[in-house]
Amino acid sequence: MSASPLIGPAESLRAARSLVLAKRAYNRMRGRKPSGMLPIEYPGRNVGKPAGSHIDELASQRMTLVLCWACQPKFSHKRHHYYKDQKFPFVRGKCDGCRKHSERAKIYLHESFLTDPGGRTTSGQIWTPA
Amino acid sequence: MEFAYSISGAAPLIKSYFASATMSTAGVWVEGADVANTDIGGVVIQGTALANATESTVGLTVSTTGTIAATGITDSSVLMVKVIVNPDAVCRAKLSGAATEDTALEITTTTSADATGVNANGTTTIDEGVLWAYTGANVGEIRRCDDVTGSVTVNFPKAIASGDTFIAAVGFAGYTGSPTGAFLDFSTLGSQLVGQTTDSDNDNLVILDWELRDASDSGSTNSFYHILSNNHAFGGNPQHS
Repeated sequence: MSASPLIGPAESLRAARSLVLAKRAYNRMRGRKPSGMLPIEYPGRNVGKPAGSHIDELASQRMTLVLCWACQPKFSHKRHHYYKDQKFPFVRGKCDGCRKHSERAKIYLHESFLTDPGGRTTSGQIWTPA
Repeated sequence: MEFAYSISGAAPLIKSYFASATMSTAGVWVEGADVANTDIGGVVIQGTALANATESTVGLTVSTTGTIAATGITDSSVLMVKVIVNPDAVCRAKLSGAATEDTALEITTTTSADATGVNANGTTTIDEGVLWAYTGANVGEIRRCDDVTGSVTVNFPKAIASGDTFIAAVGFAGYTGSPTGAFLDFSTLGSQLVGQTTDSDNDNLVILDWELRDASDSGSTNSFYHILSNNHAFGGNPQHS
């Protein structure tokens, strides 16, 4: 009769983790796991890089920006030819400036995405990428 | 396409993901990268130009990427695309008459009258699709098609005159695909729906609502479906295996 292997705390923790991972792969309550690789979110600007420089670079590439309430006043969207979307009171996401998740962020779209660049910028403007 | 609203009423939740290819058009659905693309990034444009969706929908893009190449990237932000990831996000998608974006929907004209309103004689329609009056007495009325020659199961409320015009399109509200396997598909860039050509496989979409306009509103170039994904990666019950 062979002796059962000794399992220390570290090994048992590892075993428990593998069980959890196995459970996440198939969950009876939620059905099959999604196919393909689930994407991982971009961490944002590098730590140490000034937020303003990062935003300027994104703006020069006409990237869509998400800014929290604290970072919004620091970004002159008109000077950068950005449109502050007014259709929704707010969006949720990671602020491109301070990297923090915000439940009251605003989304800024470059005017070139709108079918009428420089045109309607009043409340009710919809996202209509050209 | 654009984010119209969410079923739950939640605000759009936006995430930045690595794109697996250059995305020069915003307002398209992306899906999880398939095996061929996982070495590059996390999301790819989903099911354009009659290609089928192969993975679960991740969301609707609200930005473009820079040019994604194997070498020469000096700023990682050019690889990113911002995506609205709400699984219950409803997108407003324009109906295009062909795979090329902004193609006008074909207007079909009746060649003879029908007092019962059951047959739009001489028109070309889409079985299991929608037919709406473009001009004539029935403007504002929508019916489901019974065949490809203008018959509707439930009659239009008023008599159909010769010369009345109609528009037919694939799909119906609450529609995921007909029993005959006729599905909606995305346009070449993925930003609109191909309204009058059926596809053999489903692109993860279901029609929730519509905006079908008549001649007074230039409906052939100004009609929309409200769609949402029925196979969302974050929706709790994705279907692809």
